[in-house]
Parts: sequence; C-alpha cells; structure tokens
Amino acid sequence: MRRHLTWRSLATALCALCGACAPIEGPVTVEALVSDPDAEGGARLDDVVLTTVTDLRAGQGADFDVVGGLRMVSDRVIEAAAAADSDQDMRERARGDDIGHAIAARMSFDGTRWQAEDFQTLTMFSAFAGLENAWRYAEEVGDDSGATGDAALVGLEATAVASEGLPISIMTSDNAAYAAPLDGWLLLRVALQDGVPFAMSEHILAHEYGHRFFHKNVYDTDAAFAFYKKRFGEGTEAEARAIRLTQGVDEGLADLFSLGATGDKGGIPRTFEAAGSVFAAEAARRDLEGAFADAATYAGLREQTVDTELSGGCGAQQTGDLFAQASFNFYCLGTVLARSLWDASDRDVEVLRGEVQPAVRRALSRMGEAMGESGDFDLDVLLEPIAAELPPGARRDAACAAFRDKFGELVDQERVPTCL
Amino acid sequence: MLVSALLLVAGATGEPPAPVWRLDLPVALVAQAPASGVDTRVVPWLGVRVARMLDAPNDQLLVFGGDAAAMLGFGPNEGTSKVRASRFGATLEGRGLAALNAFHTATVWVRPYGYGALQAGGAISTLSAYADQSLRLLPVWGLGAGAGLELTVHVVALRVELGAGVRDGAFALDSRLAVGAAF
Repeated sequence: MRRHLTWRSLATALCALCGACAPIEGPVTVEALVSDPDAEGGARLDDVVLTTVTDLRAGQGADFDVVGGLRMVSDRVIEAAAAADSDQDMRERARGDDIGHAIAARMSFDGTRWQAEDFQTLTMFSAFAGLENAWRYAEEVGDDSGATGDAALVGLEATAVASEGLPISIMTSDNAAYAAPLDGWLLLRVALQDGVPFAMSEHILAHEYGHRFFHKNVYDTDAAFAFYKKRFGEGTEAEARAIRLTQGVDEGLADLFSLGATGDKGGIPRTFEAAGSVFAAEAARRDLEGAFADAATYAGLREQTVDTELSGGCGAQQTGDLFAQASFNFYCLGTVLARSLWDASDRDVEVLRGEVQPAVRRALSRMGEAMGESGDFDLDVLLEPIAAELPPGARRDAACAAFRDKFGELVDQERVPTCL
Repeated sequence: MLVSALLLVAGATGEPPAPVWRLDLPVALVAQAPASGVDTRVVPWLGVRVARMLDAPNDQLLVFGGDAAAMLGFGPNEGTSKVRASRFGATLEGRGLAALNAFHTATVWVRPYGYGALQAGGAISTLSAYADQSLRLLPVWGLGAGAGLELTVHVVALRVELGAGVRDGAFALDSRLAVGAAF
C-alpha cells in the first residue's frame, strides 16, 4: 500500500509538473491581442475566454484546429479543382496528406489565465479568439452551411508554394488568407508589415472568415461549384470578367462580415494604415465611410469616371471597361458593394447584424444557384435576392435606395425587380 | 597506428604536458526545431567558459575533464515594431568531457572530444502590444551531448562543437565556436 501511494504521488507530481496529462478544454481564459479602438494603435493585450478549445496546448478545437507546417501547393490545388466535382471533393484532393502537424504551444498559467511565452503562441491565442468570434457571428446570422457546419484548418505560419517538385514560396509573409481549396486559413508570418500582425487582427480574421462564409454558401451546389472551378482554367474573357466580379463581391462581403462580427467600422482601414508601406494605400479604399467609398459607383468604376486620385489603385491599364481588364483590383468593387449594404443598414451595426447580414446570407445560395444555371455573373444576380430577402418596408426601401445610389444602372435596367 | 606513433614520439622527446586549463568565449547557435511545433527558430547564445582537464601524461590516449559556462541568449525577437515577442535568457552550463590525445607537438595539441551537458537558468519573456506589455520569468533547462575538436597553439585555443539535445522540452541542435586561452 505504501509503495502504491508512493508511485501514485510521484505520478501526480509529474503530471502537475508537465501539465500535459490532460488536455486543456474550453471555456479557458487566455491572454490574447484584442481590438480596442480607444487603445493606442487600436489594440491591446487582454483576457479572452475561448469556448470551443478541446486541447489548448495542441491548438485543437471543436470547430477548427490550428496546425503548424501547413502548405498550399499551387499546382496541386489547380489539379484538384480541375478534377473535383464538388467543393468537398476539391478539399480532399487539394489537401492530400499535407494537413500540417500539431503545434506545441509554449504557455504558462498565472493563476487566472494562460499566457503565451512566444510569438507563435500569442498568434494562436489571438487567431483562435478572432475566428471563434467570427464563427459565432455566422451562427447568429443564421448560417446553416458548411461555414459553420464543417471543421476547418488554421495554418500557423503557413506557406504557399508553386509545386511539389519546385517548392518555391509564392506567399510567405504579411498576410492572412482563406484558401478555399484547402478549406483552411493560412496565417502567414510577419516580415515587412508594422502595426497589428494580420494573423492576429480580429478584423482581418473576421474578413477571412467572411470568405469561407461566402464560399460555403455560394458554391454549395455542383452547378455553382462548376462556375467556381472556371477560375483555375483558361476560360473566355467574358468568364474571366464574371469571375473578377464575383471576387469583388467576395471581398466586399468579407469586409461587411468583418464589420458585423467586430462591430468596429474602422477596424480594417485602421489595421491597414498601421501596417504601413504598401498596405496604407489600401486603407483609404477599404474605409466604408471614406472619400473613395463616397465617390465610387459600379458604373463609375467600370467606365473609369471616378476621380483618379481616389481610384488610382484600382488597376486600370487602358480605357474602357475596367472590369474586363485582368489588372482590375476587384477590392475596389468590393468597397462599393459593402458601402451600399452599410448604407442599407443605416450605418448601424445592430441593423446590419439583425436584418441586412441575415438577408445577405440567404441571398448567397440564390446567387450560387443563378450562377450555376447561367454560367455568368453580374451584380444584379446578388442585389435582387438581397432586396427580396429583406422584409418589405423601411429596410427594403433603404436597401433599394442604396442600390440606386451605387448600382443605379442595374436598377434602372430593371435588373433588380424588387426595387422597381 | 599513426596516433600511437606520434604519441610515442612526443613522449620520448620529453615535451611539456598539454595545458589543463582553458578560458574561452563560446558563441553558440541553438536551433530549436520546431519551437511551438511551428517552425525552427535559431537563437544565438554568447558566454564565457572555463574548462579543466585532468592532469595526464602525453601518452595517455583518453583524458577526462569538465567545463562550466555562463551563457546569455537573445531572441527569437519576432513580430512588428508595435506587437512583438522577445526573450532574453541566461543559463549556467556544466559539461563532462572526454578527449582523445590525437596529436601534439611541443606547442600544438589537437584533441577531438565528446561531451555531455546540463543547462539550467532563466529567461525574461516579453510580449508587447503598443502600450501594453506582459513580462514574465521562465525557467530554462536543457540537456544534451555532442562532439568537438580542440586545437591549441601555444596559449591560443580554438574549439568547434556540434551537439544535440533537449531545450525547454523541444529537440535542439547546438553548434558552437569558441576562442580562448589555454594554460
């Protein structure tokens, strides 16, 4: 008996020392980087409760796992998309066996919370908090797609390489991205950027979650997925133009999603501005209440009649239809769409969360169906179902007024019949 | 055979015994792979080290001894200028040495050697986000083994080493270069 107790005591002591015998599950309090518009730089360290964690030290959760060493192999992605007949099929093919490995967070407990001991662990805590918040927001606005139904991957310090045979990095730093073929978020390391690392910014993380929200709601059917696949092949100029427009819609709705999830309309521009260098120019074009958003319209962008001081970064290389140019910076169109939906919400976060974002969500699957049937896309394919999904009355009227302001041509051509 | 012959010649000529004390300044690059399970991080360590080999006649093939070092480590220092993590560590290290009397003349000694090491110390880990700063003291520990080559010319000693082991629970590779005095 005495011997038994001794061994048990030793085992208990070892467990207490290593702290690794039982996974740390949520709800668990960690110190993470959080957004605070009133704090210097708009960010500070604070306690956050992570609720979906299943093993904090390994970065695992009920909704997503944070992994190290995740790689997106470009040629494999292209081959996977070409061969796949559904989004799920593409995911399996594109991932292959390359799904990263478990992390080993370096952290310590100070009696009330877990604190990171290195930069990677702080990034993991912050990203976990940001994505968890975005996930809950998607559920709140009624998402019933794979965006909230399927488990995802988060690659900490992930990389994107050209091919298996030639593993040259094509994207390694200063970014966070949703890679739809992998159904995972790639959090890249910091190199040139300043301010809040994109991989830790809850605004950027919510934006990236917004891409998954868009992808899973729009490309959910085989026909819609067939439209999505076109971006990986050599299509016609008309198809390339339509894809650019969907990419612009995707970016704009991701910004709107971020605004709704964080409740901070200045979050994305502030993050880009603080990032400095090449990112600062993006800040002005992403400000939904800024001069670019005031001036830009769908027709104005296409015909290049927006003041060039404001639209200089929108990628025009020749006169004529900007949307038809491969150099078109589709984020510019995204801002026009996000601004119109922000106006449709009376620039009120609660209205956005309670009325407009749920209508947008419901409209996305209708957009996917329409694209799948026609094989084509223009903005009316989204604007009409959004207007139709809003209840008749003040909210629909506000949306139609906003659409007339930014997409007047489409409304005038009776391509948004609900707004007639 | 060649080594034995050289030792025999050196012993027969009555050359002075090898110096038993070393004082040197090691520079170590420790690659922890992978830190946080994410990616390999290389941390430079600087220090001062004193070594004592047991007295032994020149014809004794194996010589034993030990050394002790105080080391300071910096980094990894990561993030942006506004949101970053940095680390500064200090350790004491003790090692047991077993050296082979491979070659020597009256003024030159060449000794390959192996070692086993233990490290213990502490680190100051800092996370900062604009005006916020979170600072804590952490224990640092390690154990490892490796091999090196020592070249002593008169009083100048050069040592190069390569080792492997565990640092703070993660596998680590340790490469070192040290220059100092032998007496």
